[in-house]
Amino acid sequence: MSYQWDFRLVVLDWRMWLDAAGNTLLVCAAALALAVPLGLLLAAARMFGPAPLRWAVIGYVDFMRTSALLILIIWFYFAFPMLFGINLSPFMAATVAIGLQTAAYFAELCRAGINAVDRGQWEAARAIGMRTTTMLRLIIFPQALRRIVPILFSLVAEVIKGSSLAAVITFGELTYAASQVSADTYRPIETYTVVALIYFVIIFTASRLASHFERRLGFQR
Amino acid sequence: MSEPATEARLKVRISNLHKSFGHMEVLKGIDLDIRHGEKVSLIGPSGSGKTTLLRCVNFLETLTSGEVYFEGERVGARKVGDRWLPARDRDLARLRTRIGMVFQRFNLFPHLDVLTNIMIGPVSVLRRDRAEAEAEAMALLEKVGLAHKAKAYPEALSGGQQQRVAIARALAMKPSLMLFDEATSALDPELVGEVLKVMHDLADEGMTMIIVTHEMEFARDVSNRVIFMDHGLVVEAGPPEQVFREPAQERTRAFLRAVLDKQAYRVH
Repeated sequence: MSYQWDFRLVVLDWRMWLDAAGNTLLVCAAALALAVPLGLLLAAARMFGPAPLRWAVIGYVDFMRTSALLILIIWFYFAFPMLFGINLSPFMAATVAIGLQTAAYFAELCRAGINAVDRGQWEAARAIGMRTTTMLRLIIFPQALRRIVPILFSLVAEVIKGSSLAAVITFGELTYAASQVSADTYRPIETYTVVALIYFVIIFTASRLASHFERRLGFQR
Repeated sequence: MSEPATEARLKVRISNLHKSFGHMEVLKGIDLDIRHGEKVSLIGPSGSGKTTLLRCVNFLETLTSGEVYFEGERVGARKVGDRWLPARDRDLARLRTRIGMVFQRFNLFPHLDVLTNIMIGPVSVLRRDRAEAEAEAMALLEKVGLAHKAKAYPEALSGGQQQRVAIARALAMKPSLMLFDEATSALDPELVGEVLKVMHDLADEGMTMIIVTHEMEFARDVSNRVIFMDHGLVVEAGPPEQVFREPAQERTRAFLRAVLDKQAYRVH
């Protein structure tokens, strides 16, 4: 028995797919906009902060990294409003959950990148009289960045894939749209094939952009 | 301890310096005075503490106990009222601008070209005018014979060239003391000479230098004083002729015999 593929109904409403893809990108961008600065702060606090702050950051990072993203998303959507009396839209709940978890990963990535800079570089910078902030800015961060940027892309890919979990709180991104289309058209195989292709195109494009960006910045080492 | 007036004339005064890493005591009470313009070589077997001693002078290592003074100023501590507190980041930074250091592994900044490696200290630490700093950096490159490599990146240079750039980088800060930590130990044998020559010229210009080295011939040629260390203590110190020709201590004799035998072997 061979399956009769029929994509017509599935792609009929292409504007809807475009909107959904836009929402996926939007929630990812918002989550990253939260994760990157927060991750930097966490990394700085963990590396250079006083002991109690370091412990707090270690606790936060461990907790976030061992949490299931799906549970975090559900928690921020359903539990957070009950506990704090602040209602979060599906978009906000997804952004906060993905952003907070990604911040923990990004903080660890930054810390690893900074620690990977040879001790001799720190010593040479200190030996010519650089203060810590100058040393970090001119010597350590630029070298850490070369290690961080390539790995940052795989983190971005994880964020894009993770955003599909926001479907469970009815945020209108790609996976949620797919479930709707599938229910409307009775064509689940075609629908999820299409949505898989869209994810591929988005992540593949992001990957090309990332390597272009790496080359532009001369991160060839 | 009070600060006697003689300390001002001394470049470095080290008194009863102890340094431990965990339970291991690496320096077991070092006393050493270094005068302005003096060239002092620290020799001894690996693990004897000579590198650690050098690194205590610019406080890359904290001191476990004892004191180090540089130009009469206590290293790693600042006086508040009548109490000594740990030096702050900015105190250490200011002190280190006056002490140049050259490392065994060069430690050039790989993301910066040669010229920028040399200028970055004067420009970002001393806030010197960029054009002036560049002119001086070029002059220093000229001096170490590498003006044609100004725009090259460290990875494109040989070990000997990298080390000469590292010396220029340290000199760009116009230090009044230079510390050399086995500056030629990581080099291929045929590249050692070019680095020693630069160091020799620097010595001739009157720079105060503390040199940790395994190059006995060089130590003999440039030093006013040779200090033999073993197991965290100064075993013997004196003018090079005396330490090399007629060492008083058996431990010194054994070390020199072993090292000179090896060097003789390398020549033949």
